[in-house]
Amino acid sequence: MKNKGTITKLQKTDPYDIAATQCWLEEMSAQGLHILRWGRLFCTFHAGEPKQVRYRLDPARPGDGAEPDAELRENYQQAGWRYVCSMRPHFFLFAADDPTVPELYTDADSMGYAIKHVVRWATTSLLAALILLLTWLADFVSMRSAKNIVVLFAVGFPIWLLCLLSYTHRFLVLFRAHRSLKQGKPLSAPPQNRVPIMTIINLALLVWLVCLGLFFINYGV
Amino acid sequence: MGMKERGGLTEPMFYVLMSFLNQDMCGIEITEFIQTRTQGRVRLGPGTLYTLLGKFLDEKLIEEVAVEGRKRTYRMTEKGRTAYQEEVARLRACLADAEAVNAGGTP
Repeated sequence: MKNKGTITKLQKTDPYDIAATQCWLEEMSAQGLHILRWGRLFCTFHAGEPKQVRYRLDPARPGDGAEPDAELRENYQQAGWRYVCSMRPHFFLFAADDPTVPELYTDADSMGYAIKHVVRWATTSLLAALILLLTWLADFVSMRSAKNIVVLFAVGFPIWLLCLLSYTHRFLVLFRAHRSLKQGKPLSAPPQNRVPIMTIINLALLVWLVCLGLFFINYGV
Repeated sequence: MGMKERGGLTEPMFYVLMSFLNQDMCGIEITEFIQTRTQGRVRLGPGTLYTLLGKFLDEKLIEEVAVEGRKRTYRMTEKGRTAYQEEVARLRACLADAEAVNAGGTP
């Protein structure tokens, strides 16, 4: 999709896969596509000259709003890191055009500490999703004689399953990254042709909801 | 190796705490202090600095003393001073052991 020097592309990485996302955005900039906005499924790029740019995801701190704190932004800027966009709700994206400026995080331990609350949030949301799924299944067992139970199950179960897969994947990616950082190991370089699992799950969920909508419009409830 | 595994402060943590020993500091001043003190050996990324400041605030090793526009100034608490002194003592003990072994002392 093109619009006055901007190009919209489907996300090729999961935003929670920090190393893979940084790597993909750097590859895009090397091809002349510089990220402007990170959406839920799509990214908007500015088409310009190919450049070597370093991109780094900075975990939002508790209490941060939609944008990073003004003092922090100014100090990052002085250190050579310009703010690019928010990857809500848990990361902010910064970029360095100068290859000599120090890394945003100069030690793995501090980066590990920075993503700790994101891991905690991913754990809580996974547990909440599991509890809700179990409650929903228990509800089904208790009303097994209800009319249209098969239809209700066929409609609801794929949605629950996709949500659970999405939450589990996010938790595992973040948990592995956090463990590696706490052991003092920097985030490992992602393999080539990595599959964007979250994007696929989100697309599948979207397609399923659209199909359901069309079904109900055509055939009623 | 992470801080917990090693039992002490990491090098960036140690230098950030050291910067507060004689005066209150803001983020930029801390970076400059470490750069000068270590003659550029220890480079502190801004993400690392602000994460450590947040961690030290949570653990009450430092406290915020002033906000002027966008500039926040912090100072070390008694708890922070104790943590710093304990680390200095630990590093002195490590160095003394190393020097004793270098001088041919008993292992």
